[in-house]
Amino acid sequence: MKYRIKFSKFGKMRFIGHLDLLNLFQRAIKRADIPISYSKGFNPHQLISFAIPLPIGMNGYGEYADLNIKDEIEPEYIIKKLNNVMPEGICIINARILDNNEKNCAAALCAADYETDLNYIKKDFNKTIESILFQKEINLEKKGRKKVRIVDIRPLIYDIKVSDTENRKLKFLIATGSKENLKPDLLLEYICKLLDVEYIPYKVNISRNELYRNENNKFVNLFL
Amino acid sequence: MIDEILLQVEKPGRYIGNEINMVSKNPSDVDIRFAFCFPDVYEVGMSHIGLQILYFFFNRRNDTYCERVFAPWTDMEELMRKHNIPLFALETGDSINKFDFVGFTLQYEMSYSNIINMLNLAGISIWSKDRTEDEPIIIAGGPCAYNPEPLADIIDIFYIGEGEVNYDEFLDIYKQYKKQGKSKKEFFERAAKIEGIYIPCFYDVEYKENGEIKEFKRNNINAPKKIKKVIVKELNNVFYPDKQLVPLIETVHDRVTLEVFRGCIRGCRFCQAGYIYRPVREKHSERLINDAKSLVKYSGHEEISLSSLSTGDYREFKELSQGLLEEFSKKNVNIALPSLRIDAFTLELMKKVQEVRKSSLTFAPEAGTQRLRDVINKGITEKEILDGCRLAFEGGWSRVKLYFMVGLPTETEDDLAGIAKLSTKVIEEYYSIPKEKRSKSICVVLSSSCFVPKPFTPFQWEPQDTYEQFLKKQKFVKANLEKKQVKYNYHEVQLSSMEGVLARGDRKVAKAIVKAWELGAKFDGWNEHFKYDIWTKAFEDTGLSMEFYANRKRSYDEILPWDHISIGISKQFFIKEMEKAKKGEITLNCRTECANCGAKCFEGGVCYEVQN
Repeated sequence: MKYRIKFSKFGKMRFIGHLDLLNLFQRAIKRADIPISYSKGFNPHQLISFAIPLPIGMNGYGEYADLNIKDEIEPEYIIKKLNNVMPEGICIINARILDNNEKNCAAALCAADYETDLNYIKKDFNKTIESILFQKEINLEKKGRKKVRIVDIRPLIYDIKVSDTENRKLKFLIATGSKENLKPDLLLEYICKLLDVEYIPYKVNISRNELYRNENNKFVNLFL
Repeated sequence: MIDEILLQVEKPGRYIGNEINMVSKNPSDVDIRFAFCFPDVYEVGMSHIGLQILYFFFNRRNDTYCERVFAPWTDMEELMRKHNIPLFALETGDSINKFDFVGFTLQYEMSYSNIINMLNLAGISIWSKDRTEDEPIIIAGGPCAYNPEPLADIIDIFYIGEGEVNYDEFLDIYKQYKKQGKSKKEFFERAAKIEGIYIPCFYDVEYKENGEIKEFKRNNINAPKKIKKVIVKELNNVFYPDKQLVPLIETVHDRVTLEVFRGCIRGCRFCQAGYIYRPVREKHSERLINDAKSLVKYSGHEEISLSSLSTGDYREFKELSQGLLEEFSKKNVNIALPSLRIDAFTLELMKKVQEVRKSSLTFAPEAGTQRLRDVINKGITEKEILDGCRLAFEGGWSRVKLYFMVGLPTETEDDLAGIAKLSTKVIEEYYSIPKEKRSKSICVVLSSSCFVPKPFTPFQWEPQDTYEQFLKKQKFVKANLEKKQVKYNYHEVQLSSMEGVLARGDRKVAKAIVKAWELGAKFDGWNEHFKYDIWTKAFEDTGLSMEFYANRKRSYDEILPWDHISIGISKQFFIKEMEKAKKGEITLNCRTECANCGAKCFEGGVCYEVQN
């Protein structure tokens, strides 16, 4: 039986990388005594897969993972059992049974909602942010392993707006996943360039609030 | 601020605490705050079983909050210094300079510069004599505390022996004295009466003109003449945590550790651990299996390892290994076996636990000829090694590791050539097995480390080779290798030389350690950070000779810097062992025949086992 869980990762836990998070989940599942399925083969591992890694330093409030569980158990039971053994900063928000024909969370993912402050920039940025959606193309240099490519990130930005003028916070919905992906850092760097200030990654607090799939050209969060 | 800094360092997970099973207490609810400091990076310290035991041992007391501190990696240190962030404890994030105790575990000599660095980062005075009543009491224990002298002017109190024995009494008295508003000195005088407690400032050392110790004497009548180590008599009843801290980031060993026994029956003459932890005291397999159940349950770890100096000597090994397999093999928990003497039983067991993942098998002959193996009392013969290898090759293993030491007392070129020869013989053994019966390929990994004479061993009077000699010897071994299937690894020679200097250092050496730190020494145990030049300069600048400590032959009647510490084994016994070594005579293991080392005075363990 397949389950999808929605969870948050915040506070001190935002300093833990993706591989460590995977280990943490595996141990938590063992401590919680959830009857997880294991892969076959010489080196069996738990059948658990995440939608997409959350970069170190970012808070995540709508993260997802799929679990293969041997028996049919109540989603509520999974939530309760896991939350009992999780460290502060990881919280299981919801769980549900997946239909057989549903794509796994990584394959279904196509967009993510972010919120960040740019408060260290002591500049008024409302106009700049509003201008972004009016642009036809935004060509940026993207450094690959070997050469620098020019990419147009405009089609990857679905929405962007100021959410708190006073504290210089903004929200944006951008392409995320294995098909099309925009790193929030790249967008923020671009915004800073427009504002003519240096982008200092450790000065900003980014949250990823929700992950979406595409259903009939609408964004639906991965839990629904 | 701290978050901003964490976003700039390589592994922020080292500094956040918050691990599974971390103990949370309200600091205002406790009487004693104890900072348990491991003078190395988080991933190393968190893999240490002693830390896990003492952390939960201290924290089982309601009046004490024990928190952890590790050496921040260089990137973190730089930012901490830049932003004036003092060294903090992981649990509360509080700076440790107002704690009651700052305790260091001394696991290896090359961590001494980190101790100085951590004190400095915490804003605590480096020299014991400079510390005020407001500053924490600096305490230290662990294997290197058996020669406390190189740190005697820095550490206020050494605890010699096993923590479970007297820490409760020690903390009870401290609490009482603190409540009564007594001074540090008053507390020290009282603490000195607890067995195993060594307070260096109560002793003075006088030196001869040649640098040797002339006299070591008390200057305070409350202090004992000799400090005797304390050990747990009956290990079955001793505290062992039912849970373990589970790190959030990958560490050196991510697994449940069972402590099977303490001590070792073997008496290898180069091995300090084989003497300082005497006598051997075992835990019953039943208890260990129960401990394992609980530890796995509360940690979620997928591997259990057995910890001891020589697990193959455990009398209930069969019961334990079979019990663990029964309990855990269906629960996706692996059993990690330590290096064992290879025979039919252990091989069968290895096959069971390792399934198809056949890693390598390890043998530690330590020396290349039987003569030298007898000198060091390493009770393993060439035949045993070759038979073990044969069984392994037939069982499908294709990688064998052989560990040796160079620079052992009485070593000749023959012994060095013997290292190479033994690797050839292992390969010949492989080819003597019919093709269809042996593993597909063969690889022998030969490693040689450099011998470091240690206090409380029969070789404590012996000169150590210089690093130039070590280099020559490594080259000689390499030149003697005949087979292309042999891969030769060798140890950083200058690091071993430095370890040799510090291991048998006296009180004067502290100056050089602090000087080395001033010149930038830190993380010396890490090849990428160790700089020999810094240390030679530090010794020069402080007018000390490294050769005096490392490369000099001492006479039996010289007062050794650690003579006031008693591990229960008489000096006479070590002299006898040294003389036997010279003649190549072996000493049987404790279980076969008591060698009357003196450890019987502890009234427990192997000395009182019913002999078969």
